[in-house]
Amino acid sequence: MIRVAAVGDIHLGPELRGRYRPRLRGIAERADVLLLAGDLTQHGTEEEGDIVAGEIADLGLPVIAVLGNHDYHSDQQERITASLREAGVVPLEGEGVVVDCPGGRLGIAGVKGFGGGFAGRCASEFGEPEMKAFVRHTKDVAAALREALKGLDADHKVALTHYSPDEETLEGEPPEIFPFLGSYLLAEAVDEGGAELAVHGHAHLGCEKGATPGGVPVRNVALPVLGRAYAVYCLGGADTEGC
Amino acid sequence: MAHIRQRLAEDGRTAELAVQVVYEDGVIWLEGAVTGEGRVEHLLAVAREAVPDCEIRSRVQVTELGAPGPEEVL
Repeated sequence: MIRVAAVGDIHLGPELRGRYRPRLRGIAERADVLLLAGDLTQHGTEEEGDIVAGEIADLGLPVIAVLGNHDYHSDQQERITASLREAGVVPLEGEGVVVDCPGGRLGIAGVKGFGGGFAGRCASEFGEPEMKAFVRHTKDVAAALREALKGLDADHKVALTHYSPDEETLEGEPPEIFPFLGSYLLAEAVDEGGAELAVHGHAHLGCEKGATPGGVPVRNVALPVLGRAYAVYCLGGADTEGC
Repeated sequence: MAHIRQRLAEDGRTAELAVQVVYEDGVIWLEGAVTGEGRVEHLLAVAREAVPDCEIRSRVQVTELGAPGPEEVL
């Protein structure tokens, strides 16, 4: 059994410095790995990136992250990524990593993802260059997620994104903005890549639980949805030592 | 309403994309959740600058960083 802690949309900034880390106390005893599902900062500044790094450094367990749209806002995403890496975090964008856990080898593939919408109500790569570029970007990141998942040599696989692969976990959000919250192409990548769990953030007004068309559990771990510092999901069945 | 929502998303003091703007009986309400009390004050300030002649109030919740809950077995 592998215990996966996850949270997204912590949106840290100077006013929250030092307030999140106390909530992570003891996480190494409760989980084997922590996944961060993007929007770690509010404005995507270098200063906020450093604050995030300070809050999550040296937690005593592997920390894997993707960035979110807020983390790109100030065009400092590379600097934020470097800060995370210096803090011992593994940032992913179209890549995978395998973590050796007591319950087996856990593979995580991560991308920020993008929008486009869901079956029957989605954007198409057609018309103006701007629209084609929008949809092409989603196709590219979905393909990267699929390939990263397929390339993992692991006992269990998890897909980590910021944007949602599933409209079920968007329930509570205005339906008009679903195309800006995720894409069914990400769900196809999750299903084809052999993931057992997909974790995302971004949808603050959504709900926690959904599933891909292929039946893979999807969990929206945006902090406002969870209402707690992080969630823990157990893969590989329950045992007496943990879940 | 659309302009207020856009300002809340784009203004550097707020950068809040998940806040809803609702009009009820002459009052514009801001709704949603943010991660700090100071962010509610910024939301109100930016919205009031956008439409200074309207009454604007907040129902925005401040997300509590609660303790982790029970694990879910998948």
